[in-house]
Amino acid sequence: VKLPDLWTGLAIFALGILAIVKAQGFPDVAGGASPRLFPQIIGGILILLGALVSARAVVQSGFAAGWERPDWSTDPLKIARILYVPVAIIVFAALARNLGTIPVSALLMIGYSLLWRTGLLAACIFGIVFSVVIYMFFTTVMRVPLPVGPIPLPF
Amino acid sequence: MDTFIQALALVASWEVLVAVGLGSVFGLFVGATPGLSATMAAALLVPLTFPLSPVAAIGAIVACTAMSIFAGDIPAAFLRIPGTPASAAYMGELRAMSERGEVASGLGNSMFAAVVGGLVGTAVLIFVAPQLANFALSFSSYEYFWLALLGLSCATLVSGADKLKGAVSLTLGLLVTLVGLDVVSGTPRYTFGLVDLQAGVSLIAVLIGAFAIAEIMRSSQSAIQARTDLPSIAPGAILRGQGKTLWRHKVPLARGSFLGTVIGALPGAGPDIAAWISYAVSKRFSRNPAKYGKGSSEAVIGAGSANNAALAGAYVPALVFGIPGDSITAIVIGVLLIKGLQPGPLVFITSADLVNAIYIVFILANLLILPLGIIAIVAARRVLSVRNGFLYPAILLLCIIGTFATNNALFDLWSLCIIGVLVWIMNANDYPAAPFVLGVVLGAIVEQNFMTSMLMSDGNLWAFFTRPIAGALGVVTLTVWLLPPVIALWRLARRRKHTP
Repeated sequence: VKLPDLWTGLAIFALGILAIVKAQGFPDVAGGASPRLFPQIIGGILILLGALVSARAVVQSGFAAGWERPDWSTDPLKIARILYVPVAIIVFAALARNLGTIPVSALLMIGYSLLWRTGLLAACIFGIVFSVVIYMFFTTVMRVPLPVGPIPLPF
Repeated sequence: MDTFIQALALVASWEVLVAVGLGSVFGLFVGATPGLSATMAAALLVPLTFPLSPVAAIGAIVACTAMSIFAGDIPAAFLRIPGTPASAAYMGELRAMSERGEVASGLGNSMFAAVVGGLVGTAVLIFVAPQLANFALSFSSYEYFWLALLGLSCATLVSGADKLKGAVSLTLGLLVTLVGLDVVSGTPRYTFGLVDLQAGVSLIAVLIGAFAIAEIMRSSQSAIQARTDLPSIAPGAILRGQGKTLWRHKVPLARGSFLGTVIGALPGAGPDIAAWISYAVSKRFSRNPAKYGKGSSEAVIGAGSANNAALAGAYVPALVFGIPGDSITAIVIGVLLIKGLQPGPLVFITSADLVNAIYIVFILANLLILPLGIIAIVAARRVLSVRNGFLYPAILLLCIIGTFATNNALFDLWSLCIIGVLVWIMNANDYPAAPFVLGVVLGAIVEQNFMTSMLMSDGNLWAFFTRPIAGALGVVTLTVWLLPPVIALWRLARRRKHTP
């Protein structure tokens, strides 16, 4: 999403103000090493840089510049593929503990494969096999426990 | 000598050799796959290195990145799509050779150049890093503060066309490091009452989010590519006549290797910048500049040696000062920190065997390019025909499970999601990702040294300039900051003067 520099500059400016305001709530200990100091400096730099980005945008294209509609925004499949990535991460975080790593991973992989126009059978086989392989790699080779879910696994 | 033998013993273990071997194969695959970068390969490896020893972990990353930088040349030659940005500089040369039916010879040139460049870079690392480390032993928090700040500032300068946006990315990275407990007083900052945020934002979530999730989202915007039929190559054709060609172009080879090492050692300038500059320099001093752009072996050797040399060069500031030379060494520093090792001059004394082991791994990884590179070129037809519909779901799952598995924390997945989306939006608006990650990696070091210095000087900022080296570094850093706006204002004033 290509936004006008004026907007992104203002967002950075606002973030800098927010960082400084929030830093006022940190305790101010004696001496030079206050936990407020560095956040205030970083907030100040963000305010300055945000203002510079916005000012430059105004000088170059005035206040009228709108946001550019990206090429992918007219293709529903591309939009779905982009949105799928963050949604898949959230779905895994929300469901893996209760449903188990393999079923959630397999479903997420099948869904994403289909969005890349892979055939249903190929997507299902690949999604299930790859999920099982990755699960076994992490749990047996790397000895990292992953959520098993309600159904006990034979391996 | 004892240290070297200990290092050799560390490398000669099954764990390290298997990690280097698998890292190499993974690097070849990622490098040869258009759209996936060497940095992404390194980021994806981070969670997999979690249970490994520090030598095995660094060995896997070194081998993986060395291989992927070379392997980026393979799709450049076959498809005119660089596998990694480091191959873009001489992609036209490889493609022209390919069109003449000399694809095996062209890729052979780049493979041997990569090996020589990597070995020269490693030699410089072996001889220069310990000397610099000896010098750096006298550094205090003042010098480290300025050094880290100088590294970050240089990284911003070379981050892309828009330095202002590079500076914004860097500052956003520094802001992310403020989340969690304060380094001096232990006060929670920007945690919004969430206990999970007290340890800060997971570095692995940042690395994978910025370099992998954002990249998958960017790739999701592109159209699905049709499969292409590629010519088959015999191993003998890759090796034929390479000795003579390398000897004929020994000067561009040596120049590219040294130039690449020096450029790689500069904070922020990675293999891609090294390859572009080396290509330009090689053309400038060539006896046959007219052949450039038309499939010149000299051009491929001159620039192809530089990108792998830069990879080793970037480890000089990373190991000696803890300042990453590029985004890959930023990841390596992250891995060392996770392993409880703080890069810096002391690591050459306290963990000399580890440092020597890294040198050996570098030599091993570069030599491995020869056999594995030949296999990769021969197998290119298969690697390049992997469908996006299998590739991207597999990477996405690796990102999710890798991030979760590192700390066994579902909360890290939220960080992964937010950082991935944030960096995707930043990239779309020309805010580069590399300074953001460098900011996250170096933020704590900058703040810790700043706070220590403030405590030592009782808040007196003048103390930051009173020690000779600190003062010099401070002046250089301030010059790096002030020079671009001063030059811009001077140019503006000159333009107005000349405008009637």
